Amino acid sequence: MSRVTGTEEGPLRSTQRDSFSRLAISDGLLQVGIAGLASAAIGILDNAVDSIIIAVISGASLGVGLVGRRRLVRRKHTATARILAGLASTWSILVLLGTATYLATGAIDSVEDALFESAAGFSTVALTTLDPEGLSLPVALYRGATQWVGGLLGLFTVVVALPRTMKGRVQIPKGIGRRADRLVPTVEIGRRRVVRLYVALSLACFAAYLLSGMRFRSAAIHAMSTVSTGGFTDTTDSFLTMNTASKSVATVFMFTAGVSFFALFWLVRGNHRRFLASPELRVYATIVATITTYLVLVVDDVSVGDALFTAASASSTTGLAVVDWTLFPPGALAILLIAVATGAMGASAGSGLRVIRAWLLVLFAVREVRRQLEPSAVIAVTHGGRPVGEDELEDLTGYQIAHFGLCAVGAFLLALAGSELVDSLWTAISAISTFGPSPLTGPTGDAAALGSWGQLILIPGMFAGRLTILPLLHALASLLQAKARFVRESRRLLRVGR
Amino acid sequence: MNVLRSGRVRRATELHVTGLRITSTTLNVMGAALAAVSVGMVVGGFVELGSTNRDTGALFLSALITFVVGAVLFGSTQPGDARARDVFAAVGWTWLMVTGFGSLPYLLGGTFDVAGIDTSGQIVNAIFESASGFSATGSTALTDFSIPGRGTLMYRQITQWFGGMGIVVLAIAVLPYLGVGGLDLLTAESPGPVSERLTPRVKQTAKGLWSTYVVFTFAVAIALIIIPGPSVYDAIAHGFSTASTGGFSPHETSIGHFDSIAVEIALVFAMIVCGTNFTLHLRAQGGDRSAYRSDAEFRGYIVMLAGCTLLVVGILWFGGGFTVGESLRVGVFNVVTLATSTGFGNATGPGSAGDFALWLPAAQMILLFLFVVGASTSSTAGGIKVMRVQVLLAHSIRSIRRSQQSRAVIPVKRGSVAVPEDIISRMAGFFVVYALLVLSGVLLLTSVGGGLRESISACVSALGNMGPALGAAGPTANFTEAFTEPGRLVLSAYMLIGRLEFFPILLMFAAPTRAARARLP
Repeated sequence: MSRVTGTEEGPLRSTQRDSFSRLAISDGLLQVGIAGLASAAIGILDNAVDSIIIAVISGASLGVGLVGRRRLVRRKHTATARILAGLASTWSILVLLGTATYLATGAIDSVEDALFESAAGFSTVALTTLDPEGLSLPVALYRGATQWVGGLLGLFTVVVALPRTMKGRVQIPKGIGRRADRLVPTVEIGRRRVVRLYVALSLACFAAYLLSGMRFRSAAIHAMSTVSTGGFTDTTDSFLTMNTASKSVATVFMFTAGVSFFALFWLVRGNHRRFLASPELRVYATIVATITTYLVLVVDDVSVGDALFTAASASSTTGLAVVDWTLFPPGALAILLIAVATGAMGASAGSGLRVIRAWLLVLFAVREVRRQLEPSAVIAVTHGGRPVGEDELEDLTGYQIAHFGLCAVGAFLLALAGSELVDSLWTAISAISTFGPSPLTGPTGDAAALGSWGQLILIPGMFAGRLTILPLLHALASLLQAKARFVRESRRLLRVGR
Repeated sequence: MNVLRSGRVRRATELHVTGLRITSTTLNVMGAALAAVSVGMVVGGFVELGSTNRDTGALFLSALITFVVGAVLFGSTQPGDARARDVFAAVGWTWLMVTGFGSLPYLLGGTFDVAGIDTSGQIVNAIFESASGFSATGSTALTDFSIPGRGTLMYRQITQWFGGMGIVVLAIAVLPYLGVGGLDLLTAESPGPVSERLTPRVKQTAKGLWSTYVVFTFAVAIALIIIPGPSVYDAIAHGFSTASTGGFSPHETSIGHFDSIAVEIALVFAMIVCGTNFTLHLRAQGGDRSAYRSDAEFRGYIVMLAGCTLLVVGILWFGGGFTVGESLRVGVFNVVTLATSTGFGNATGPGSAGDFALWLPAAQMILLFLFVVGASTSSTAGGIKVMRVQVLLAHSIRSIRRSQQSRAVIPVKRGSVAVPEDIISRMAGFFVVYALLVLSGVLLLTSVGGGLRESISACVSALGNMGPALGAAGPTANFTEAFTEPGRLVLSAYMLIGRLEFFPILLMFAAPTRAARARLP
């Protein structure tokens, strides 16, 4: 690794090295370490053995993370490929750590199940192999914490890492505005602001759940899984039996978690006008309102509150359930699938194709229809008063095709593993959008229905859903390049040997 | 959306009177098309006269009405300018009117007059059948094939042949000229003289294409006459629906009626040929020996057919409980019939091996993929088309690569030639419009009572002009049971939208609206 003199944190000391990947991994380990130690401390009276195991693993993770943070610094200019590699490695190492924790505590016996549970956690997907009511407090809290950390990792990806390095080419708003109004003026400031906003949201959600009458354990777990749009719960029936106040709190925070952090930052800074004028926010709110209205009109015996909850859960890709929506009529299932596929706003904790991309695609389609009539006219697609560049539109459509392709491949593999056609499509789209539940797994996301192969197939999809498709494709490309290098070197050695 | 128009000259009106004739491209083309369709009804009438003689009156009366309307329209109008909006209006309205008048024989002959279907249901079914015919889709609302006479069934086949005849010119001469969905990429490869104006280009190109089309129709019919099994009537009927990649059959069990491997092999070959770019056939006729080999789309088309066949046969053999022979027979036939958007079925009845609605989900997933892709551009087949898929895939890979190297200039290539950015943008636009149409179609169909599996597959099938769908709308079922009346109307519209590559139908109101606006003070 070459030494450089210029970094975002000043000149390098003799003991420091620059590596985005290792630094990202250290950050991830640090976050999991803190969250794990907190879970162990809170749960020590409930189950001392589980707490000690989690504390040991999390302590080690924290230690490695701290050492990494001390010894590594961030380069001023990091290549996109390195950033993608860093994100992919961080996610993979966190998933392995989570798997080890589940196995060590005995919460899960099988490696595949532990791997899936951990991957679902760090991808904020509401699919589970566990009976949540049978878990000890430290394990239950740790499980919730995996989603909380996964949500944070997703936010770093879409708010801090990709928009700065890729010049907004994946259509995630960069937070254009005055310096004081920008969320990410530099990587470090952006990181700190995102963490503060995320923690503040989580604490507010936790307090609101407590006030709504929820127990401490439930409130903590649900706060972590709501703000991260994860969807893990500590009950077997999700929110089906919760009181109205808790359902209302969940609805509000699910919707909020699906809002862009750029927009939330404007709100926190008191720039209400800019927040309310956000065109993406308006589209997002319209989608939720439309789905709610549709469900109320089409589904028998569903209240406005339950419809709003279901719409917010689907649009924010959280995965919490207040009714068994898998029994809804086909029209309602279709609109929910579209909502899940569209997902939340860009730069939010939610996932999916993202509202901004979906909206730009609609505008692009309208432009193309109009262009048929006036082939020589210059028709620009504008979003929020800003014309969107042709390069951005090209990349948007290219990205969308790759996203659809990934969903199609996932669905085909699930079908090959034995799932029915519509179930395969639903489940693949749901997992890639980090929603989770589907008509196959039920509203509470029972992963046992997928079978071992189904679970293994969904892990890369969940990864791509959480960190966008780019790190996955980069990882695949790296593997192919490594294989080609290996073959080339082997042939060269063979020739030399002869 | 911001529109910047420079130096646009507004024309007074699309519809104006010159002497005793009205200048209107739309009405003129519509009149000619209706007159032509009436010929098909007359042919059906004569077939009926010589056989069952049940629907003779209905067919001749329909022909008379259609011909009179067509002749009046054609005689009282003259074509005007062929600008984009006029062409879209002409194409869209013509197909719509032809579908409407084409449903007359079914309505007057009582084809759908069965127990449980009221008058509105009969009208919807007649429109559905007519739309399916003229769009060369092949979906059917016919529940009892013994009701219509042989003449009506022959007329039904002819509707597909007429549809194919229109499509073949539309796909090669008109849509590429207008740059629909990036098809202007083909203009350089189109056969015949290249003209700056659309009308002479269409006329000259049409002659060559139609002669090829007629030759194919006769070739298929003769092949089926030679092969033991089909009668002369069957052979001609299937010749019409094979050349047009339509997929109608006068038999309830389609090609399964013959239960003949020889018939299936002949049709597989014919369907592959008809799903190939017609310009390649013309080039080959002109002595270009490397026409097929050198074409990137043709190579992609063959690779797609081979790959999907291997996968389907493998899945059926290893997991479907079929023998190797059965897997090969049903796998090859159904992959080819669906990839070329023909939509024949070789199921001998519900529950038989060829009933792909009962196949393993993974095999159905591959068929769904074929529903989306279809066959080659400039053929009678439907779907997004192989060439667009090739360019869009390359575009997607380029976008991913560019996300890592934002300053890199990476061209999208087709063969060894870089595709212009404007054409890529048009193709991407076409795909996005397609995706939005599928989403809205599924939502509409499920909202009016369709099942999710049926709605997804039928919507994609209708847009790709495939014919059968999955689940209750599978190859041995019909659309009357799977969809309600509003659902069938939605599908009728989707068949026409898909057939005309979306834009003519979406923009068919543009010219009349502009003309109406121009007349306002």
